[in-house]
Amino acid sequence: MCDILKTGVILMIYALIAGGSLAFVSIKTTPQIIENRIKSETESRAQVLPGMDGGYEQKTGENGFPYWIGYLDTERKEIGGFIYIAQGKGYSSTIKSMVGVSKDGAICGVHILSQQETPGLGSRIEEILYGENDPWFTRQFKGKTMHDILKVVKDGGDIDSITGATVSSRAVINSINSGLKQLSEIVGEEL
Amino acid sequence: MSIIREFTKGFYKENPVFRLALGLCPTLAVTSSIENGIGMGVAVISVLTCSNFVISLVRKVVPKKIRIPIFIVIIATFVTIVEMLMQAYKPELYKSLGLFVPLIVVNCIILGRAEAYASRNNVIYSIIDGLGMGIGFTLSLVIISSIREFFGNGTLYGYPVLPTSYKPVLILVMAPGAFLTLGYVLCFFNWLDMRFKNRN
Amino acid sequence: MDLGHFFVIIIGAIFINNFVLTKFLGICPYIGVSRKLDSAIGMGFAVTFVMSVASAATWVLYTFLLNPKTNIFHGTDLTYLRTIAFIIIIASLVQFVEMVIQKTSPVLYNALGIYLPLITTNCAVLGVAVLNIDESFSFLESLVHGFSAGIGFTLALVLMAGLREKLDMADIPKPLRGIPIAFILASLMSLAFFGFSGLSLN
Repeated sequence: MCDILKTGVILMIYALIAGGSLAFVSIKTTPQIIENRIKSETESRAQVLPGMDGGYEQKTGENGFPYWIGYLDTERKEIGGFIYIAQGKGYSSTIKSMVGVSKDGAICGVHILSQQETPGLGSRIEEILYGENDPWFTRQFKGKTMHDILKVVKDGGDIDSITGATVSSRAVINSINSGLKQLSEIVGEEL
Repeated sequence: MSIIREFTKGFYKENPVFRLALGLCPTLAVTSSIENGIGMGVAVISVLTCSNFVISLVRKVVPKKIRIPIFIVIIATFVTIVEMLMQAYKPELYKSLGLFVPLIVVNCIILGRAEAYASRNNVIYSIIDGLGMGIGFTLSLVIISSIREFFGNGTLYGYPVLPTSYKPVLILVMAPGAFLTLGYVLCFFNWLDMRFKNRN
Repeated sequence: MDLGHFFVIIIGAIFINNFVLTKFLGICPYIGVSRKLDSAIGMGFAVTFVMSVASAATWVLYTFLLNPKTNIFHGTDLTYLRTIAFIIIIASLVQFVEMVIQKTSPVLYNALGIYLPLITTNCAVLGVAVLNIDESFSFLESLVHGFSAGIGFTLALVLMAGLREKLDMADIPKPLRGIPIAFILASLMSLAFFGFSGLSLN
């Protein structure tokens, strides 16, 4: 009995020291981790809808559809465009992307937030060719509006799909399409 | 016991991956690019060196019966510290290594070295052993990821090295290619070993 | 309760995202304990059992003690203790299971006993616990996911053992014998399982 108690106390001491040092490192690193998250969020917003001096205001539409309004001026009077999150089932994962739409309804930029598609095939939706600085696949959406037919070439549209990964390409396109429709229902009169 | 021999034994003679077949999960999972392989290697080197150091330090005040739980607690602490540091200062790497960062805890190399080496040797040798074994592990990750990235993607460390007319062998960067590459690399080292033995 | 949803989790964990063949979890026992069919089956069931119980236990621990949104400490963030807490839970669980089996069923203990200590360092167990949290599964979903991931592991292990028993009789070049040929076999098996990944279950 005494033996069990002794080993228990020793284990507890080790666990306490471990927990304490982890708490210390956690307190030291948490601000940096939060800063990273905020930074990457603001960076991707600025990437898909650039030039918004007034910043972005987060809104939630009906049935929980999240979107942001971008303002051109610092007083937040003039709306410059909108950002929404598009989500669609790809080949082996859910592909999540952020889409920026200007006030006149044209897509300004698409940024893939998360995906776990097949490496070398589907995950090339994020591929940046050597010497370029943005992914070629999502660049194709720039300037397209709701009235353009967003489809891969195979389906009669004009978006080049990724060779061997039509499913992933279609998933991105369909999620952007349906998100665009939802956005226009919410902010319809402004689009 | 010479320090140099203790340091270099992990490179070839007792290489954890190729000779002892330890730590195979990360070897397969993170070697689709050299960058990820090196990132995982550095994480393992730091955890292994730190845990070897601490375990060797406390080896005399650890009751034999509960040594394994205590080793696991020490290792898990360092893994979590590395995880948090990586999340704070290398968020991109953290994202691509994903699940395999917390799983360093159950990497058999680390518990294996704790049990077989650090709990029996003094602090200096334990640190040297941790460093050497960690570097040996990193070397094997680099070898495997170079092969996979070169043939499977036509690049090395992200730089294109093959002409654009080269059609990458995609299967190598996918799951089956990981098994295949490791299988043949292990076969090569077996063959090398046999040649050595025959000559002597 | 939506049964179809559980069906998706089960098929997903066994075939589409098989732990061994597509997620690279539990490779050490997959190569180490697949020489004989009997031991493969024993190991498979021991792992399945521990994975199910560990999924449930770690879910409860995470939800009530660590997660700041749901824990009993009113929002104190203890998520940094996740890895250490999970591995301790798994290690003590394995020890406990070993003790219970030893006391209650000597037959089962003889069959599974030698594999149990190995399971603590099986990354599939810690892997499934962490994945349950990452996917924000509910309690029941975690349990089902843990169990089916274990079945997926058993399936891969048993298939491999069956093949390797046959392989013993084959004439293989010397350097390839043992582990290298097992990996090449695993590669072919993984290629076969790759075919499942296009399945769309909705």
